[in-house]
Amino acid sequence: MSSESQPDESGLMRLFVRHERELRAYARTLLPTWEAVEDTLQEASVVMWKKREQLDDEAAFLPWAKTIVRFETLKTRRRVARDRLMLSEETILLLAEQAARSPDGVLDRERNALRHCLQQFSDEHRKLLLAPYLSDGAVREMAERSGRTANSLYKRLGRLREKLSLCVERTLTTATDGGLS
Amino acid sequence: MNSDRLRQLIDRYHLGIASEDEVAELDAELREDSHTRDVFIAAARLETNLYDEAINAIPADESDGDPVSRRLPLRVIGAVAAMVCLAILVASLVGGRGPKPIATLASSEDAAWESELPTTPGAELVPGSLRLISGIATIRFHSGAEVVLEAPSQLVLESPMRGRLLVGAAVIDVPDSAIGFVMETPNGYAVDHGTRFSVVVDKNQQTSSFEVIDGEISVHTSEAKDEVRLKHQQAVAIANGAIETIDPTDLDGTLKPTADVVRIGTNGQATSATRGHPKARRRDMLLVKQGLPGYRDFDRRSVMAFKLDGIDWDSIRSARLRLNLVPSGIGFAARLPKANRFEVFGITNDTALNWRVGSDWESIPAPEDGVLLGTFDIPRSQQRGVFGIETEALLEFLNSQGAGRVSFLITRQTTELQNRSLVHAFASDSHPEASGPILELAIRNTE
Repeated sequence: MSSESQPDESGLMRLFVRHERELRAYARTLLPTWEAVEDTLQEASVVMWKKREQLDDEAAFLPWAKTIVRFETLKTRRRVARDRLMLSEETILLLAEQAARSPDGVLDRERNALRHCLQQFSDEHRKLLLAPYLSDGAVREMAERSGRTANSLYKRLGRLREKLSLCVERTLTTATDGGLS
Repeated sequence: MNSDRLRQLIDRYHLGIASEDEVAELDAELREDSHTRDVFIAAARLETNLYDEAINAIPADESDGDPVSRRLPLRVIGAVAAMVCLAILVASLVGGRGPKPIATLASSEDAAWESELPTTPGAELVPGSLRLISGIATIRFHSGAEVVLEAPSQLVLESPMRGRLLVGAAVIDVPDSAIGFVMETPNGYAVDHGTRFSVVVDKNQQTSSFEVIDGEISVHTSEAKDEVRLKHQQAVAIANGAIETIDPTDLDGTLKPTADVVRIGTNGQATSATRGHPKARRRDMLLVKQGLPGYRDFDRRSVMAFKLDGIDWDSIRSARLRLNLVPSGIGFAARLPKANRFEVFGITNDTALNWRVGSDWESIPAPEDGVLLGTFDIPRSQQRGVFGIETEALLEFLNSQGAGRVSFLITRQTTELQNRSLVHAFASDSHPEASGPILELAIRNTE
């Protein structure tokens, strides 16, 4: 009961903060919406806090934390099982296993590439690309304001996203070949 | 499935516009093929990076009360702070299913906690440890025994009839219903026989002192080799496994925690204002920020007032302004310098004293309207804790004001490194967890 016997609490916070993005990407692989991702990460952080004694080696944090996120995802899934927009449990487990093997640092390299690529879009296009992350109705609102249908704006967004994704891939390949860096 | 169709399905799924059939189609494809899963996992990474970019692209201050903020994740430190809060909450919920409550947190004055137990007044407490970082709290054991705990201290709740003070000072009041209540210390314990007594555990000296204020207790060393009975105003200390009688007047003032400090709250009289945005305000928090030149539109200052009436200034030894730092959830701590300095001004210009809760930037006092009473520093890594000033200038200022309403202005002197830096927040009286600003006046010992 005494908090003196507990491991370094600030150490756990530091680890969580350091790996927050990677855990978020992992959770995003398994869950259909950002709301579900944030809720699940929060639940997972509580579990990590409670089980912090289990962690005796900092290097083991990420796999340990991912396991907890996976469990919490399955719990979330069961809670919202009626939501047909969720992947099946079997698929989630396959993805969880495969995503846990992702090499370190890819996420950050891809972010640098993404930043580089976003600069190549016009302001208007960049705004559209980032709109879906700002609020649920953002794309629809933009469509209304510009007098288009939501459907046509989503199509446009789809094309922009494809272009962006290709740019990120190309940038990374060039960088690996030694062309950028 | 061709790669164009796959891309399209993943894209629609991520945008939240896929139909049930499309999700089912994607699900089947993911289950079958590990290459598809690789493509999907990479797409989720791109999603995450886009999400981060989107959040970073929003001016953080705009998230004040904006619907956008609902979508924003709790950023870094916020998430960790939330983690701690939730962990405490969960511990209390888990506690509800497991061990039965043995005590109630009766009240807390300006209390800051580090605890696995809930710390809101009225909370039911299960066996566990409470660490009081600042302030004073009253814990009522279900047996009727009441423990007033003074920070810094740590109390372990063991049963309705037993507590253990690991460090710090406590005054214990035991009614007839709880005769036999035991208060342990690291090197001894006291059994109560119907009384009010105090305990001080000094970790550095490895001593525990017991003083009977009224009634009778027996004090034992932990090996139970030694036992004494104490009556009215007798005191003993346990050190090196032995009990020594001491003169109660030798004990320092911590034994009477509530008697020699006057605490004054703002009684809701506190507000903050934003330079260019009169509506950007939070009722529960007093916000403070100083932006980079060019980003001064979201500068924030807070002002608060205390009513001083019936204070005998000759008896006041020192004065302290205490503020409870709480996470604002606005802006990025990483964009601040490592240490941030805050200034406290005492307002002397009479015309500036007419501010009200809800006043805008132009109507609240400015630094020119007062005198600098002191500064305090907050590291950027910290978003909780007790801060404030305890200076001669503060005492002199209060003395010169005498009675009535005094106002203080809080500003951030240091600026940010990058725009959209963290906005600092101090709890107002409406904050759900932390207590609002407190003016503490220590009364001179008259012995």
